[in-house]
Amino acid sequence: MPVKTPPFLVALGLVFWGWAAGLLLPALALALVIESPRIAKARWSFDGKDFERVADLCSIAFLVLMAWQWFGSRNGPAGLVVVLTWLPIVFIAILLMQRFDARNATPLSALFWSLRRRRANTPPRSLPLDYPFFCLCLVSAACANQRSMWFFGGLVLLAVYALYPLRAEGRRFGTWGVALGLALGLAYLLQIGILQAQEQVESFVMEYLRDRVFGRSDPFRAHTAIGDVGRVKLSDRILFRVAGAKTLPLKLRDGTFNVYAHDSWFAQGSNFRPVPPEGASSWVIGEGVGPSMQISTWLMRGRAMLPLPPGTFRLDGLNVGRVEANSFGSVRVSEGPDLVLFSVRSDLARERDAGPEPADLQVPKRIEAALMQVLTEAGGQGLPPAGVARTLQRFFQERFAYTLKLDAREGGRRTLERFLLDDRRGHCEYFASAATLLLRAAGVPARYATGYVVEEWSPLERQFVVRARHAHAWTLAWIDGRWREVDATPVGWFAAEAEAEPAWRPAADFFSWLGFAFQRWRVSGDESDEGMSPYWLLAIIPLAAWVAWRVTRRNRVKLQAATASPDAAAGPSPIEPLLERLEALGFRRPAAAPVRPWLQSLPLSPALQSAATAVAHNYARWRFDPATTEPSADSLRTQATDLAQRIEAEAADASRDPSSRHGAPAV
Amino acid sequence: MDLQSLHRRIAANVETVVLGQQVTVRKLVAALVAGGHVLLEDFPGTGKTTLAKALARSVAAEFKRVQFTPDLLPSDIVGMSIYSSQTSQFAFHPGPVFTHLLLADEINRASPRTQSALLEAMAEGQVSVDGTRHALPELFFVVATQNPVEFHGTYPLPEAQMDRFALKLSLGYVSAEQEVEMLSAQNAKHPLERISPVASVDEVLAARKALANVRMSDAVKRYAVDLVGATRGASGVTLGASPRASIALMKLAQALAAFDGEEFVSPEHVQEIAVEAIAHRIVLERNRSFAGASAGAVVEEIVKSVAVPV
Repeated sequence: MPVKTPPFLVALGLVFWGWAAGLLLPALALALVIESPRIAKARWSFDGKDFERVADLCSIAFLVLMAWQWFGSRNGPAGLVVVLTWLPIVFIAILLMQRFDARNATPLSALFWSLRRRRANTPPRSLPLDYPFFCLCLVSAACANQRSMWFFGGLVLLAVYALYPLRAEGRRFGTWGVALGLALGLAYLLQIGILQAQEQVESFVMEYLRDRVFGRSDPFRAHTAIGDVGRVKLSDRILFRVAGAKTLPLKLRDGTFNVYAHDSWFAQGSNFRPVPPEGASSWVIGEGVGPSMQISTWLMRGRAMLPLPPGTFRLDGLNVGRVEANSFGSVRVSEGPDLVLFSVRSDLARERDAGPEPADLQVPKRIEAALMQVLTEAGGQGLPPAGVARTLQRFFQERFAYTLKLDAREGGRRTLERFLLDDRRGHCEYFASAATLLLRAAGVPARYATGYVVEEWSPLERQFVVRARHAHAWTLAWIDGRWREVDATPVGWFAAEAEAEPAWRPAADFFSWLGFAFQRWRVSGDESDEGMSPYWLLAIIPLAAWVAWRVTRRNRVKLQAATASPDAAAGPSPIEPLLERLEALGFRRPAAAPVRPWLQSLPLSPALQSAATAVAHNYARWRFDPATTEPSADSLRTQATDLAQRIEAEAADASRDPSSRHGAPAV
Repeated sequence: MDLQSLHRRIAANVETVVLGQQVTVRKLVAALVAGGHVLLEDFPGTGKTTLAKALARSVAAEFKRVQFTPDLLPSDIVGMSIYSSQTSQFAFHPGPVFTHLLLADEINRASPRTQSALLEAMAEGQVSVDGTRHALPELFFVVATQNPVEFHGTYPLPEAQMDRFALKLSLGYVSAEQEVEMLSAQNAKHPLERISPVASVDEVLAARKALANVRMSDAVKRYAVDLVGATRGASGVTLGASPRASIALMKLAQALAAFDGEEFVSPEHVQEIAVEAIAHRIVLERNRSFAGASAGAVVEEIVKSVAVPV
């Protein structure tokens, strides 16, 4: 049964949502627009098709937003929450259309495809979307995740206001209030419980993920895929972008490790120390002279290990709260925005990392024999450090193969020994680990480094893009008093990684770029902003323009038809104000109740009763007698407004004098 | 032509005989004026025949009654040609259908062949016997009754024939007070014998013509069509109401509006007659009717859910 909503309910819901989502101004504008039919007299009689088109349009907008969030921002699936926060803007067009529709109801076929097919033999069923949209506002407001008591308080007030007209008739207000209070109390306790449960689960999951999956962003430990079999899959997702790189291929390092154990590399004795800031956004790691390049990268909850070129001595324009560096040259930032764009100055002539330590020569006992055997085979014994490095590189290039597909022959885990002695196939982590350990076995201090290779130029973005699959591992060897990069991985791995490029990659790249460009513009414009911002509204503007164009285009015809015949006119009925005021007094007319008998059946005082009857008869004559021009809509409106005022006045008197009251809303 | 006064006169007259049935009498008279036939379905002894007779007496119309039985033949209703030895010719002997007001009692007891003979007469306003067409009187109004509790030896009317009735009414039991009053009234003499005509056949025919002057706006027409159309897609309904239902609904609503002294039809008039004019034309799904659902309840639900024009 369609129910009329309390006045301004949707507007209040929108404002509440705007407050919660930090979009108060747009929300106020939307609220004004959505309540404008109260002032604007124009109405249209849209048919089901119109509604379906606009609903489809909204759905498309919704999908575009989803795609954008999914591909175009670092949020990935979590971006869906952002989309949820934006739902009121996406779907307001349908409600607005309904508000300007003469029947003030939306055909269900606009919402359900299944009903469209049955249209031929089904009468159109429609539903006012006010309450659903109001609920949508609340859901979206909740997705904005305002963790304050104000949110709960506002929610309670709105719920009371929305539910009051829906209470069962004949119930005492007190009963209703107690029931509602009980429900709200339970809701409050329940949300506390859910919150606690969520914290428990979250901490558990995060711990698990930290251990298993995100080893990479851990500055103290690099979990390798050594030992895993099957295909190593790395995504095409663009992680960061580099502009102004002079020498290629360039390796950006985000972690350096010195101890190998259990297929993992650890950074031992490398405590992070704060990097002193210089001005608002410059950070000085050391002295030096050198070229600069621009790097833009996403931060995860404001934190990240920065991928940096070797010899980095200065970071400019890095708008974060804290920068720390360790003695191995790893730099981590925290308290930053979603996206950072900064320029890096590096000086290859100066060694910034700590010099070799005993740990840089340690080899696990377990594989020492295998290492010596391979070293002998490669002929790397007794050579100077630079010679060892060159020999090993050539040895790996000639005798080993790069692959991402590792089989589990002989049924066990793959080990570094098997890689070295048996099949000699593997990916960069094998090569880097093996090379590091072999160098150490030959007496050259070496460390294991992880990072990315900058090699793919994006014509679209006009800068280098670095994808997840460009991740790489290599070796740093102490040669001639410097840490030098030794990349033992056979040439051609980069092409092998790019082999399985999915067909939709250009589209994903495009959305990624859109998201990046938008975020960059946002970050450069408003640096203090956190979370969503009103700029997203820009995406809606072309859509809104399209909707408006369609509406106005279809209107012209409809309006002419409307003026020709009062039946199709469907403007606001002259007794609409009367019905609204009666509703405010608690007399709600069911949509299927004819106006005249309903008006006559109201429990009014005798004087008002006769006035109501007169208005009812005039209304019926005006509305349903095609041959009469009397009374005019204006005089009927005057009569109805007059009656409404009298009823209100009497109701006010009655409430002042409780003795005259009997029954619920008797007037 | 004052339809309001015609209705008042007839209704007041009938109500002296049939007590406590104002609502049904109003609808019955509406059907008479709107030119539709009526099916009365109710338990035995609730006054179906009395009502029909009282109506016939009130309009000074010729009244005939046929008790339908399984062995009733079509010729028993429409008449037959009999050879006359005096004229040496076949002469047509009109059956009981040649009357103004026909009471077809227990119509579902006759064989389908006989039923359809009557229903053809109802639809066409004429009967054909031996290739000759015989026109029925201009005022030809059938009140058929059927008994809802007996199923043995009955031939339920097919859907297509139910559609020929404009209305299906039921009387129901009256209140205890009214039943007491009924007893007192019957004590001396049957009240049927006391009443005298208050309207003529010509008046009823004039009223039928005047009905066309009752205006009906497009919005109300649309509302009536929406109500009828809603039965076609309603859940649990195999067969919805036909456009003939819309037409009947319109004419009946016009009559009701005229009875209220109005020159135009309002949605409330459509609502008033909707269940009686639509429900008997729809067929519920088997499992729904076995589950106790009734077509009347379905139409009532539709009336309660389709928004009226405001």
